Amino acid sequence: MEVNLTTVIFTIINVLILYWYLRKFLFTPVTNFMNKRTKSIEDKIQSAEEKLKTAEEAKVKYESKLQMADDEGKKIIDEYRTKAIKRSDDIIMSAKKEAEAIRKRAELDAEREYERVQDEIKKQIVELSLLAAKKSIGEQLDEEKHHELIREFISKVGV
Amino acid sequence: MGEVKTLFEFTIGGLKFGITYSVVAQWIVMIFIMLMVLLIRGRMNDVPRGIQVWVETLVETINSLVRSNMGEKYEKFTPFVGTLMIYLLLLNLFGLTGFRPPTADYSVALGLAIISFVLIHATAIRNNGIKHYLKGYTHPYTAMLPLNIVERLVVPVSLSLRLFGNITAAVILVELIYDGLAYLSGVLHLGIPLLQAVIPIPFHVYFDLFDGAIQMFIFVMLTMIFIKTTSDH
Repeated sequence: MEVNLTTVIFTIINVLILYWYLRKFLFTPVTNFMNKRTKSIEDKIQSAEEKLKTAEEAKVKYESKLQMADDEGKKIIDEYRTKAIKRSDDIIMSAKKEAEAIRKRAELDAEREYERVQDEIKKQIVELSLLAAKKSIGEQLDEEKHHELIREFISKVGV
Repeated sequence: MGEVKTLFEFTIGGLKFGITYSVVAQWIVMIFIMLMVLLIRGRMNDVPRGIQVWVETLVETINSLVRSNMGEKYEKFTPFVGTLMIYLLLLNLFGLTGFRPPTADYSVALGLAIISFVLIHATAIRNNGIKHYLKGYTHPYTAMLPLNIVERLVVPVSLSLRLFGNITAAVILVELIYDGLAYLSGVLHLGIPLLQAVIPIPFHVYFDLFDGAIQMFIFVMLTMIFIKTTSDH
């Protein structure tokens, strides 16, 4: 067992070369690669969690918005329903009023007609009786005077 | 056993280098490791599949080993520790190819231990400053100086001798088993050493795989612990 100096030196050189080579081409790149992957996975998990959180927040927000819209809709419907009821009441009321007015006018008309017809009848009776009296008494009747007389008579009789 | 055969020689600037078998074997292992790494590179995918799973497991295991044994502060030693682990393991397992593992050559074991030794003290000096580092030799009192020096010098010696001794012993034992089986085959008049066929497998598993892995692990663990303790003292 003797020490060969050349072998010792070459062994040292060999190890140093191999160290340089493996550090450059194996350990550093592989470790960096793995660290990078670890980081990217961590980042992905974190971003996924953040996205989930945002989504949940958005969900809560939209749910409340939906609820609000629902409430609003109900309110609007209620409002319109009340309005519609009021409107229909108004319409009915005005229709009633109108009907009442029409009825009154018709009554008035009828009354007037009745008076007019009465007058007419009176007039005709006067004419008729005048005519009859003319026929029976002759032609010398003072038309104006007799007219007056008959009308008075009819009023007294109360036709 | 243990004889150093010089395969070829060359001279650089008047210095003569005799390249031994152990160095050539190391080169083969190095080329193998480098080719494997080249093969894996560029195949890295975001979703690990096939060989990438193994590479990631290996790197992560070494990372966590360094972290748990030395702490976050020493994380930059991971490439060195990993290199030492892969290299030493393959050098020890080189015996499985039928050749002598290079670590059964003491010069190789010494070279590896010297690197550990230099690293241990360089880290201690860098972390504590030269003055503080030198003061550490007089800890707990000045009279301990020679003992402390011996303690520190013994580290590379013990590291290298442990590795060399264990691997060499395993090589010798396996060779003895082969020789014994060949002899037995002769006694049984089998013509060819038939007994050498299957019987050595469990011995290979134990002496080459198990012992090789264990020796690698001990060497690397001790290096890590010495770097940390020497630097922290």
